[in-house]
Amino acid sequence: MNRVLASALLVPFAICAAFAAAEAPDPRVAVLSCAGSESPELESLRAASAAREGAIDPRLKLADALLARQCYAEAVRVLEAGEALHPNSNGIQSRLRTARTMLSEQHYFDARDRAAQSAKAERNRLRCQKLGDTAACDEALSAEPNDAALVMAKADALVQANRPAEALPLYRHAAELDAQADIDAKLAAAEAQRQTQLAQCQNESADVALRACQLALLPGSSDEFSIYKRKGILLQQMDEPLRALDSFIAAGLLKSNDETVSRAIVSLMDSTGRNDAVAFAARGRALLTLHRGADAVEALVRARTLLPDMADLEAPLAAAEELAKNEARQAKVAMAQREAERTARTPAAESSVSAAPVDDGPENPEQIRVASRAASEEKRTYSNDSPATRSH
Amino acid sequence: MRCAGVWISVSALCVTACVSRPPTIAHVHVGHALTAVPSTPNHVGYLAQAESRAREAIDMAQRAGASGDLPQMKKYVASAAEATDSPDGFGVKQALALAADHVSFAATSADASTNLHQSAPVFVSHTARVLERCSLIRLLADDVAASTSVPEAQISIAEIRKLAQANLTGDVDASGAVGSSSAQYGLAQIRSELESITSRENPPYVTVDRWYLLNLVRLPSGKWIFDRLRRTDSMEGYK
Repeated sequence: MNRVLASALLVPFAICAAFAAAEAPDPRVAVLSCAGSESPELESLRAASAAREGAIDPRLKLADALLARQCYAEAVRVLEAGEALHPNSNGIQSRLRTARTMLSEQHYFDARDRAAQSAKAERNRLRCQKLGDTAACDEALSAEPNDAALVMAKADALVQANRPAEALPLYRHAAELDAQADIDAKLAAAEAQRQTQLAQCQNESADVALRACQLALLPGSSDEFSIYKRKGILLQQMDEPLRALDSFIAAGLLKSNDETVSRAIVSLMDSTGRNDAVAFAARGRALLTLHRGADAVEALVRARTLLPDMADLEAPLAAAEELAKNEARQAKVAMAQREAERTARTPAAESSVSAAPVDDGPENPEQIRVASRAASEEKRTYSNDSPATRSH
Repeated sequence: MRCAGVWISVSALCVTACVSRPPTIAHVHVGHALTAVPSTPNHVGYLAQAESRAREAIDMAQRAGASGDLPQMKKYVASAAEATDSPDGFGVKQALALAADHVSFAATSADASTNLHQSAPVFVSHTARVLERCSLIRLLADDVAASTSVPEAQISIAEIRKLAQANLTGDVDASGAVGSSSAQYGLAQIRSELESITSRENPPYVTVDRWYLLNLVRLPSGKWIFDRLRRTDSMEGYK
């Protein structure tokens, strides 16, 4: 009876005491992703726990190590397996409670981070679609590059900003993504806007024309070469030789056989003193167009020396070498003819001239350059100069 | 017989002691979310604080929408943003995040029921959309502050109004239903969910006495206790 009385007295007080001082792990501990889950220490604890599957201690040690490394998901798995084997273990229960809570918090913080990112994405979409904010469009598209509505919205924003050349490829991309809009009408409107700019580019002058050229420039279009060429001319007129050279080089890459562009490149290279591989390659191609083989070889070899891996040099170099060989051969023939004419005046020499053989010309590049120099000097013309004249 | 009399007396004493026993620590944490907490203005619960600030945000956003004067619009929108997301001013975002934290604390407590263990993480995850709307309102308010024209500002303000309203009542879906999924929840649905959780508690959840709500502290050891001696200076507890 006394024992019953004692129990009746003690149990409520014990319960009240437990309510008054309950323990909880700190839920504000920073929750990071699981770090060091492959560490040798963890591996050894995993092995120990697996070796004695029924034992509590190795499992608790593994759980503690996992919790310390914030590997909450694995800790929950390990402890739940332990709970099944030892349903009444306080050690497992308390750790399991902590692990589950920390895991749910980890999800919560991840969700919060995602919420902040989603808010930003939503804001960018809104500004792109409703305000035509191209910067917001770019940010939104960086996260979702194949969102048809966003692609369309950016294209619309660019047309609104009078940048049709940038809008056109986006409309085409939107069409590929099955955007729900009248893409053909939008493409036509953007192209019409670009044609207006193209007309300004060709017919206006200075800054107005230059800006129009820039806005009308559409990579891959049939007028790309003429826009670059026009830009080069405008920049030359505006006394911006370096930028002009860039434009002519770009034009020369699109169409290498234009003599005006070629002469401009050679002339601007000389006046600006630019001496990088790209410029020398452009000069080489330009000289080839101007039929100055030896000079072209020299420029192209220089480009290759500066940038050995430079692409698309082999073909023009081969053509330039061939041209230089022909130049050298012609020079030899010309020299032989002059010699023959000179010696023809003396009867004794006549027979030896007619017997003189004409060889096939020099074979190595250095010979080609030296031998053809004389020939090219004879017919050299200068870029942007008056028509070619002979120097003698 | 005399022994039985003593037993009855002691039992009566014991019953009296248990009737006035403190609430569970878990329920006190839930009470902080629902009823009262020392840190909010007027000591209201975190959820009530979030609801009150959400109503302020709606009011300010409506005023901004009704105004045609750009500086005035910017002023109202700044107030709406302040009510929504302000670490110092207990905005909707901060108050709701703390409500979620405290429901997590409840689930972490050693005396938490299985119901709380299981429901708290789900509840917490359901607050995400409101927090997202709060962040979006802040971003759009920054855009309004940088606006150079009334039409530009109006576009963001219209969105802020919708978001502020949805924060309180939930999003309207295509069928016209409000807050029908957790991705559309507002504070109204969040409160309902928390009340539903407490209604499933066993022992039942009863509104926790304010004294307990305002005097729970955590010792440096991590233990939660009620600060009967008001020793808060030597403790790190939240009060």
